[in-house]
Amino acid sequence: MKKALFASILAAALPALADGNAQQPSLPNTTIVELKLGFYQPRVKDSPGVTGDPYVQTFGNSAMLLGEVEVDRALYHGYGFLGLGVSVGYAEKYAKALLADGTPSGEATGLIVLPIRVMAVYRYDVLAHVFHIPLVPYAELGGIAYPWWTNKGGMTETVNGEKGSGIRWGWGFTAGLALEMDFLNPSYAREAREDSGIYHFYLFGEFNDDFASNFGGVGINLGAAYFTFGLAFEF
Amino acid sequence: MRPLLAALLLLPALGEAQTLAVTINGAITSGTSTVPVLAFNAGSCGSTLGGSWTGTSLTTACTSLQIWVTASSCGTAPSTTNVPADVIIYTAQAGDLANGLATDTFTFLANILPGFSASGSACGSTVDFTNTVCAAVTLNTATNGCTGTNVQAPTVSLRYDNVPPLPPTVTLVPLDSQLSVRLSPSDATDTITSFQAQYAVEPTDGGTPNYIGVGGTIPVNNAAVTISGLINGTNYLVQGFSVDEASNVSVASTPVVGSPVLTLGFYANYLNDGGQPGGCGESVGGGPSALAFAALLVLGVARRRG
Repeated sequence: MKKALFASILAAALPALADGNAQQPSLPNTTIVELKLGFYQPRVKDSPGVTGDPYVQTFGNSAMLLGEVEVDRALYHGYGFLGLGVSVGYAEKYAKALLADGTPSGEATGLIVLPIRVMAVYRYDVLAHVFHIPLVPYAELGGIAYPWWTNKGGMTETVNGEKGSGIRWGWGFTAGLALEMDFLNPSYAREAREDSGIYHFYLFGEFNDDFASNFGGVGINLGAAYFTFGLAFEF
Repeated sequence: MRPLLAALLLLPALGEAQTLAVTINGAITSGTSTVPVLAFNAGSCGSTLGGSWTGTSLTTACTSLQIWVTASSCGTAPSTTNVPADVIIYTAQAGDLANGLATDTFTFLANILPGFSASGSACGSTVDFTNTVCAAVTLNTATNGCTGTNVQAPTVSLRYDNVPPLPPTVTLVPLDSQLSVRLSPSDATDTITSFQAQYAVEPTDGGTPNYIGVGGTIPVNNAAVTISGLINGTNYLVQGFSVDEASNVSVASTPVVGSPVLTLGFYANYLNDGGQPGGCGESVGGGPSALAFAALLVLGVARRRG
């Protein structure tokens, strides 16, 4: 099945390559807005000095639902889309705080993170624009900041004077594949372009790995490897 | 020709509906009731209650407009046979209505309600009854004399309630240095409008607890209050009071004993597992600071791109 799919893609691409017209047309510097969801479970157990897994101990082996909005702006749009992206996300997880014997208490505790990324973005949209294969592989690399805080009983949790909040810095990368939806209804896609300036719609899935541990410094490690899925609009 | 002209002249009057409405100051509609209720207790016995009425198209009235209080049902006019007797609290003469009187105010003493004589009591007694304020007027018709439409106002209830409600049920949830107090009504016969709560350290020597009020007036629809600043492991007594719609306060509920307990949130678990605080940007003030940072970062990037 995979071989057949590869063969068909190759068959579609080869004629274009063979006739020497595989030039990416001049494209405007577009903006892409992405809305995505994923399940994020921080590597708290990898924090320096930690022997157990406080995340699992508190919340169980259940990831946080992460919602993100990302805006990518092309700085160059020729042989692919090269630009800068900014994303802001939000994830929270709540569970009952534990009593000293490990049983659940009557009050809730929570972990809230607000991942912020500033990334260099490259999207290989040549396949879609030149060879009419509606797939856009892409990659992102950049810096991240993870503002975070913990709650207990409705207030920021403080233990022995140490407030459970802060910002973790680091870096991260993303590798993804977007499916350009224009082929489903080309006439509708053309109308959307003319009427509202939306060049393309995408469905996408991506793998992210964030290293939010102050580059290996002391303190909580909020990095994670996780998948996100979503919808994108290219203006 | 003349009958036709007369009919044309009558048309506007016939086209307008006659209405009558009575308002008693302070009466409110609450819960599932559709009738406004003014509830009061013995504290209002010497008070004057007030109200007003408004009507439309009552100029053809052929009886006086009467407002009365009854322990029975309203009917079209105050009854002469009801026991206890209906109490008329306001009268507007038909002539005044014919001259255009369409609204007025009135007052009456709280202690004249027929319910007092029905229960053989007086204002100040520990009784609970509800009487009804009625209002009606009969309109004239050209052919049948004073047998036309009887216009009645929607009723208003007056409840004299000098019976304290039962105290609430108090449940405690121990939290870290706090107790969460939940109060629920235990009196199905009364309309509870709010609660009050008190707490005290449980005396270890059998002495009298020194109660402190907490939470002020606690609304019935969100009947919870958290007592903060307590010491984990110390026994505290918590008692509640119910307040009904006539502002009667119940006796205190049986004190419930609760003891705050240390709980471990995520951050405590992290530190207890060997995690370290600190690092660049840590402990900068919690959620609001983090949100402010995020906003600044996004704003900065947006400006650069703009």
